[in-house]
Amino acid sequence: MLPLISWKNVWRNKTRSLVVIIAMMIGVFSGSFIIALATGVIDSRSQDIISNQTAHIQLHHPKFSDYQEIQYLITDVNESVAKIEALPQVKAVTYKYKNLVMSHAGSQRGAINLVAINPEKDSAVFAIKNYLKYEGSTYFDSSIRNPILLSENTAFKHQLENYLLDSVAFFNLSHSSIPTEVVEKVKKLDGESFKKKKQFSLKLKEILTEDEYLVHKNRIFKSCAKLKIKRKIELSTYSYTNENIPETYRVVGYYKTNDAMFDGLNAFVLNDNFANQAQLPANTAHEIDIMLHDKASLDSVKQKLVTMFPDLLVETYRDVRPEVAMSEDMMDFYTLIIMSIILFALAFGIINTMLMAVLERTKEIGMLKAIGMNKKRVFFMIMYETVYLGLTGGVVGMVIAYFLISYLEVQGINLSMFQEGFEAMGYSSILYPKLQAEMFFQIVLLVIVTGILSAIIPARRALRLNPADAVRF
Amino acid sequence: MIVIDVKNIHKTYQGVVPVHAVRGIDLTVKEGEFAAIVGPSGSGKTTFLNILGGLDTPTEGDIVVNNTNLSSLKASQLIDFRLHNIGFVFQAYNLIPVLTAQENVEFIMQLQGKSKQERSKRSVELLNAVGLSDKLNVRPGKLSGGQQQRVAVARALASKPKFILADEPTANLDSDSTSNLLSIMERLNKEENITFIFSTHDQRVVNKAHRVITIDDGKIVSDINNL
Repeated sequence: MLPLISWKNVWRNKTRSLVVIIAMMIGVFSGSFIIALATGVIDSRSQDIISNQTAHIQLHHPKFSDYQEIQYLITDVNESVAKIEALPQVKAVTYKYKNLVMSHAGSQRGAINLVAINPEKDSAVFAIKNYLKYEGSTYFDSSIRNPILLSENTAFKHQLENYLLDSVAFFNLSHSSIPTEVVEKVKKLDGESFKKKKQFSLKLKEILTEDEYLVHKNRIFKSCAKLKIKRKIELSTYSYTNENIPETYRVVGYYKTNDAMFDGLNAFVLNDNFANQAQLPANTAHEIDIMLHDKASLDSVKQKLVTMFPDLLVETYRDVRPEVAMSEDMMDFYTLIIMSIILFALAFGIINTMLMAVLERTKEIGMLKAIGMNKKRVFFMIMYETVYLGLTGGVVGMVIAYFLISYLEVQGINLSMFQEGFEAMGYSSILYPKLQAEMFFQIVLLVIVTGILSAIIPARRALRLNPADAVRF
Repeated sequence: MIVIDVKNIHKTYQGVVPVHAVRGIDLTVKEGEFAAIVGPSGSGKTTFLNILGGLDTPTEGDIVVNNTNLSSLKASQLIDFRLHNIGFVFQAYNLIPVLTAQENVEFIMQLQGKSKQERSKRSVELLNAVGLSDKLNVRPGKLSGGQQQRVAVARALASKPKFILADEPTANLDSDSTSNLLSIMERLNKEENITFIFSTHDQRVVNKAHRVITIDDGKIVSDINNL
């Protein structure tokens, strides 16, 4: 009966209880949502890094990570890959060469981290083929000689684009923040195309005022730019025998991930093509990448690989990208801190309400003690009331958060207006909040603990009431 | 059979100036008595009744209820003793407002650990005995003062106490309700041999009492058999 009485007592002063319950609900909802958002962002970042850049585990020659020199090769790669593929926890394995090369296209020069892959194996581990952009782009599915997959970013850096003022370009222009009068002026160039940025730029200067040109040029370039395949780019690398060997590659496709920094650095070519160019010995690679069925087996597989390949450096994605490891590890701590701060503040509201409730019911509690209700029961009656007060708001807040997070986990929160900023930091501009079951229960547990701790002061106050003082004879 | 045996009890409240609220009271109450305790404000009546109800302990002397010396009990033992031996009726009824009349009566039996079946049976019987068989599921807020006090009497009886201590039970009641309540208590006293001890200023209650004990200045100044 005690829990029932306590539940009924909660609703004696509906307004007061509802204020506390709603405060608790908003607090728990906000906390859960913030945590889910942060978890989603961190999780999505980790997932992007694993699926586009590092896989779960990498193997290198021990000196390769430090010096990135071409000669630090893993030998007998095919045998090693076969052994790794035989492990039950392993989902897919690939291997690659990696080398920093000098790039040259037209008058533009730069440096690229060239990743030489076996497309079939690589696509089983990495997801780059899902990020292709522009018409005609393929994931090495072409007869082009010496194909290269470039990022959109690298292509623009090397001015591989041309400019075509077609319906797509005008659609882009009218959906950008460029004023209509400027778009109308640009429409005078309808149907024209420009092979070089410089030519387009001169034409724009003719039709726009100086201010209009300076303010809007970048958005106009972006809206009208087209990237075509088969564009040429020359890459020079030092060979295994330390000779500088240039080779011409032709673009087979363009990609764009959520990480502008990764895109700006990396280009992909075929393993065999690069091996020929750099005169690398057969059956070698700079890196073996391993994707597991389940991230939970990361450490155990790493330990197994360390034993299997004592001459190689075995690193998990957490070793390769310590900032990702830190973000993942800190998430639990953030959850605890955020929820503790929110619940600590809410606990004061609960304590205050319950102290008022105890004060108002001095006579009644005194009567209960007079007729024979022992201290333990009085304590639990107040405890139940306090926990109900906290838990009702907490559970409602959690339920609302659960449904909203479940919806947004699929739909995402589109912040593409800040896309450039997000990509510069390596994050997707569509955020997918995520609340893991473990965290969900942690929050519920924290709410219960808050209820119990908040109950202590009012319950002690109730215990101190003297029945003789409370009940006047 | 003697239910209450008070032997020379004193109560002094320590302070800058010690207050001697009770100054040596001796009293014996037998089973089935219908007694009223009267006295002016500041006479020590409240302190004496608190001690009699096990809500306070004397500074000196012994109070024996049903062969148990209350002075020797610890606080937790006193609570348990009150639960099983003393029924309380308060001036302001003091029912639990969120429970129905029947739940209020059952509550004390639940504290005693009685089964649901027993609680339900006895609470219906008691509410029937106080004339509230049609108000079982009504909350105190929907009952009149007289009806609430009758529920309080039923609650006090529910634990099968050795005696019922009633604090000004009619102070908040109109004359009809007072006479109705007194009739019920008299009947219970006569038919069930239940011991009632009242504190009262109400002459109607005093008139009905079989014994009138007057306290003044911390002492019993008169003890009159009213039969």
